[in-house]
Amino acid sequence: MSASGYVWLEGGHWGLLTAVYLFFATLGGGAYLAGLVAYALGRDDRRSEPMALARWAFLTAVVATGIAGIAILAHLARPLSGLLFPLTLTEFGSWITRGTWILVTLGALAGLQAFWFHFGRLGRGAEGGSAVLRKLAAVVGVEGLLDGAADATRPGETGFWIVAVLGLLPALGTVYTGFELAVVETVPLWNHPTLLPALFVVSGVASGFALALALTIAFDDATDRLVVGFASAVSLGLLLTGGLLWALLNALGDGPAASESMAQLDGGSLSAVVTLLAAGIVVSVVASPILAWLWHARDETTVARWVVRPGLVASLLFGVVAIFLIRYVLLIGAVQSPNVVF
Amino acid sequence: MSDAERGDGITRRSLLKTSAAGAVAAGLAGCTAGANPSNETIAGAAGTAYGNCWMCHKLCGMEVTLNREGRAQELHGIDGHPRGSAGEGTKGTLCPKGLSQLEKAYSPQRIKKPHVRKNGELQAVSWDEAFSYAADRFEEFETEHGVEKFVNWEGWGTAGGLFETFLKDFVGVPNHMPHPTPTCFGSMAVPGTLMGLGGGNIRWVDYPDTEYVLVWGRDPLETFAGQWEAKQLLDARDRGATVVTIDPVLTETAKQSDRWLPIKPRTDGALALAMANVIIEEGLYDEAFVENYTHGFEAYREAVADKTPEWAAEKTGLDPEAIREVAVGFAEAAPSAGITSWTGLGQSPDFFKGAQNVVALLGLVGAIDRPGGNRWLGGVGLGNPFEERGIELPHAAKGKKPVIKGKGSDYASMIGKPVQNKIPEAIRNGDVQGMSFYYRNPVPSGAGDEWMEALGELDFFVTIDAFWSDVAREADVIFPEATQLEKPMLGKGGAGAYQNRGWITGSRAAIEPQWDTKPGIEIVLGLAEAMGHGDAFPWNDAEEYLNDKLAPHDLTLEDLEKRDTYVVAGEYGYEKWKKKGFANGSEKFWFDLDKKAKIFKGLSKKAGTEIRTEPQWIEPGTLGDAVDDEYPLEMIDARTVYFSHGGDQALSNPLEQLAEAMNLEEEDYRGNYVLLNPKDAEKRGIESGDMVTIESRNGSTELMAKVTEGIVPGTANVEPYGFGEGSIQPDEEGGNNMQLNAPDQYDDVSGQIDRHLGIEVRKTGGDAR
Amino acid sequence: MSQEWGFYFDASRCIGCHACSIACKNRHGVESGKVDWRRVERAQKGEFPDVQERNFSVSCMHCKDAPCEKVCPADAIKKRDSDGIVVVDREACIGCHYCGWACPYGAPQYDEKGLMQKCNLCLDKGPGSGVDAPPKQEQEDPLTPACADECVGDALHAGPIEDLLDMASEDAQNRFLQDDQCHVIVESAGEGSETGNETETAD
Repeated sequence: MSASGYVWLEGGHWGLLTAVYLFFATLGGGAYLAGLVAYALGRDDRRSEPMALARWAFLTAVVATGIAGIAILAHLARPLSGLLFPLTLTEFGSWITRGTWILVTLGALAGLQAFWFHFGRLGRGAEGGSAVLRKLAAVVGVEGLLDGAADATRPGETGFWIVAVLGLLPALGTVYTGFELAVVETVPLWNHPTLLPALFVVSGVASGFALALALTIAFDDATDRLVVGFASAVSLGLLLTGGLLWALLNALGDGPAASESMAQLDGGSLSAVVTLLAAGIVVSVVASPILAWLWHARDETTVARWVVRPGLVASLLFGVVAIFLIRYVLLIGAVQSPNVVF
Repeated sequence: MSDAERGDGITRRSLLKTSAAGAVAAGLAGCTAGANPSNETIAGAAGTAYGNCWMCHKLCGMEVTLNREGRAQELHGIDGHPRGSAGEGTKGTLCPKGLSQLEKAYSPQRIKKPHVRKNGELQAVSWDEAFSYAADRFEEFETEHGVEKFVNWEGWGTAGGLFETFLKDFVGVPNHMPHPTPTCFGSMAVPGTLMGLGGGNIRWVDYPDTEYVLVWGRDPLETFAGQWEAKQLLDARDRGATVVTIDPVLTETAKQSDRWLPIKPRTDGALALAMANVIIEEGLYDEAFVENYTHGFEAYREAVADKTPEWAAEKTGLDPEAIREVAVGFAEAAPSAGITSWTGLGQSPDFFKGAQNVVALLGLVGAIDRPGGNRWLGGVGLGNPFEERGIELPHAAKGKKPVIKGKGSDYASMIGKPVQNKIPEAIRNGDVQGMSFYYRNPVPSGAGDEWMEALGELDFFVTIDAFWSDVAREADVIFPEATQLEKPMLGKGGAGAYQNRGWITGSRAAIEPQWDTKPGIEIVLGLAEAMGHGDAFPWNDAEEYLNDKLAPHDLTLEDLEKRDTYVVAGEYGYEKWKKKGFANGSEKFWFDLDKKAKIFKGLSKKAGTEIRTEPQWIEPGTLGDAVDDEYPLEMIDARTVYFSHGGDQALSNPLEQLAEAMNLEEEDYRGNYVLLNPKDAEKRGIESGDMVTIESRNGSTELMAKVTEGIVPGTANVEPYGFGEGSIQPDEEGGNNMQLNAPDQYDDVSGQIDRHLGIEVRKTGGDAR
Repeated sequence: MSQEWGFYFDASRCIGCHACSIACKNRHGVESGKVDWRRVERAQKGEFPDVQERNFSVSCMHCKDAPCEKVCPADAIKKRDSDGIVVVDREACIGCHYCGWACPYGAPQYDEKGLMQKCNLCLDKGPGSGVDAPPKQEQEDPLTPACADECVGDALHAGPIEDLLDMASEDAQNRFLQDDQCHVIVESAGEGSETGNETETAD
């Protein structure tokens, strides 16, 4: 506090756990969308790489929503009340209430999709890394049972698409995480009703695509041209993310709280993280499509196996980490407007 | 007791008359205050009890809400109280210290049982054993060393002087270290008295009638002597009085003043001389008063003839126009103009002349004991319990030669006053072998390091205290005292909201003494009994003793409680010097202290330069410590509103509020701070929240820095004192800035410890510059 | 509005003593440890020697459109229609801290349990108390808020807004009536200063 006539508030109410929650929620939504796109591309051959990617995507989506749920419950003083949210969270004007329903719905639908893609008609006979759930089920001996259950519960193609598209609502609905912050008028870093939610949903989709793709390349050795397509989508998503973030930071104005936040980001306590974040975005934007194309074109060579493939996975993961760091920086760098006493 | 005059014209009868009227009014007030007329504190019944706060020892009236188990739940002020309100019909409150009395009563940091030293170790024992142990040790001491080698130190104990009476008149101890002069504001008190104002009277301004107040070396809105001061000062300002604060620090009072003069430390004497220059030049002084009631005006006039505001501006760092305006404003408002000053101008040998210059202004404008000016407050007398019971004191100290005072003593000042700083030397020399401390700790007061060492060399050391400290742990006997809520209280005044009426306030204990503690009076009673003087101390408990003090007024503590704890006496007037003369025993106020020339001869010798008897400017460092290239910052220190001296640093609420006031509550630190201007801080790479070492020629200590624009560059303000080594702060957090004071750094005249020291400040653990 | 309670704060009388903070803690049994329902803040402006500093005693403002009430997912925070006091139901509170972000004044405080507690204009004693208390104006012996009761400088007052407006200066009244979002009437502290709660201007 310098001699500015301001009285600053303590702030700092949310930290790492909340950043984890915000990140995994949109990651889940983006991964769900990635799953649908992958299925749309590969539904004709359930053994194909697009199907593997779809499996990874829906598995990522359900695990991500699970992690998000655990993270936010761990942050609460009364986790049980959080679990019993239909009874306890009765204020629908609050984005936390709305978001909880969205996240849980997404988790349920992603879980359903993950189940149907691993077991039954779409999963039977699947091999490779993406069949991990089948392998686990086989160990326990319930593979056949689950296959039967999946077939029994999965609706026909039209019905399936209705459910899938309905799932798009909560998936894109993870934009709520952006609204949670954007409605807070006391924090100039957050208070942007379009830019911040847009940033969260675009980066969330990019992170979902990136992680699903990375898992498929790493564990299923995918080299199909969808790799290039998805990597390019990730690159575009990250480019848009960078642009939105840039726009957001430029829209802060020069009030005292905004200046304090910027001081932390630019040469202050968060500058190292911001540098890492920016580097991650730049590297991933540039390297992901290039390496994806190289990998797709040359997957049999030694260089391709040992350099390009790991490089591509790493490039995608840099993007994912950068997207997490965005939430981290926005939370830790948040400063509430001071009270004016003079 | 006869109906003869007591105090300043207050007769017993007139007090009774007023009390009766007061009873009616107080009865009504009692209803509105929600007081329960029955003050039963029966365990099992929720109720109200009373108290008089003793955090800063000024007795603000207190209402105590009790729960069914008799535990205190809330504390509130009492409307109309002489210390806790702005006067009749006004709201009474409790300040953060008073409110923390609740935490104090139940604080786990308390000393819970008596302790005595056996085989070198302190052991918890029963009261009986502690008393008989102490009695035996006193007897041994008398045989081996003689009581002349025992010194009693009493601070703000609540036994009303009973402990000192016991030691002096029954045990024969001739050495008692006074409280105000060596520790508190001696450099102001002595000249103030010699000139005729009366040393303590530099504090009291007649706020209800004043038009101009110079707040000079004091911060009444922070360190009020009872809340009435803060309330009445604000009321005066809101009524249109001009308030000017003269201080190196932007204090709370400065913040609320019409003007802040940010003066360089120890240059106040120059400002005062320049003001006199202007006042005399403009013919604004009180000619009649000067002519008829003062001595030495010619010498004064000559001394200030060349002390222009421009001259003073260079010395003080102030704007000459501001000096002129304040001088004119003050003099024009006089006699309804006052100066409130205290330790800010009383804790350096250089202030002996500086204080003289300031006090002279009051004589110049005739603002002594006149409406709106500095006030001579009258009081009410209380009875003597020994006289009430017809008990003769044996005066055992008669004929015993004191070691610490008198002109022949090696450890006294130029005028024979005891010098606290010299006692460690006396202990080393074996001239002092035993001590008792009652509610007093010398380690934060001066020569801190030397004291810690000396305590270990004492043969016999008794302490009466409520909280643990490294000092208490050196004792051979620890008598744990109960705190204010647990004991009856009684006092009178004097300074307070009623500027022309004396008053008495008192209350019974609100709760039982906690753990195995006792009120101070009962500790003395027990000790007296164990030492064979039980017959002369017939009271059963503290309440009975205090009721004897009230006997001449036909009151008991219970009666006082029924009147909301206070009664107010009849009115007294102004200009008492017309009949009674001045505090120097003369009919005249002295500008020139030529009648005490010997003192100034001695000072001149010490300074190596002429210190004259009339008002004079002397550079800082002439008699006191100098600031130089090696130690380029001037250390001053202050109290804050959360602590009174060193008695409350064990309490978590005030510690936290202090940290919040500094905006440093996030730091893992609950000690004190040193305030620095950004210019000085930046040069040393210091930011708010950094741990820094402050160092003088003699010693050093570590505490946290706070950087603020509200301080004169070159000044380092330790805020507050009473922390660090030897303190009751549970981890001794913070810095004891008196470890920087050397034993020979004190005022030769009064014995006052020099707290204005040249220091350097360094970021701890790193290179400063 | 007329029956609604609030505070009146006169910065020219606040001596920064923190009696309000401790009186509040005593009444509600809140110990030290950074849970301060009422805080005393200091703001400094300028450069030596042209420097000013003001004290500002702040607790919950019991706002008209309380942002804390809007964001609380568990419906634990309510502004009462009767006396306008904003209370928190600690049984419903889940400790998400959303109210802490939403409040422009830092009023929500979180204890060791992680639950929120804050000023309730002394509707009753203790954290989260007063949820079911009768309206302040109907209580037989309503508690005078401890902070106002023990304010040494007589800077802080509490009560029905219309009573508080009577003691305020015209300037303070006007400022309040122009923006009555916060149920606190604030008196400026002298020439050249303006004490306010406008977070908009702070941007």
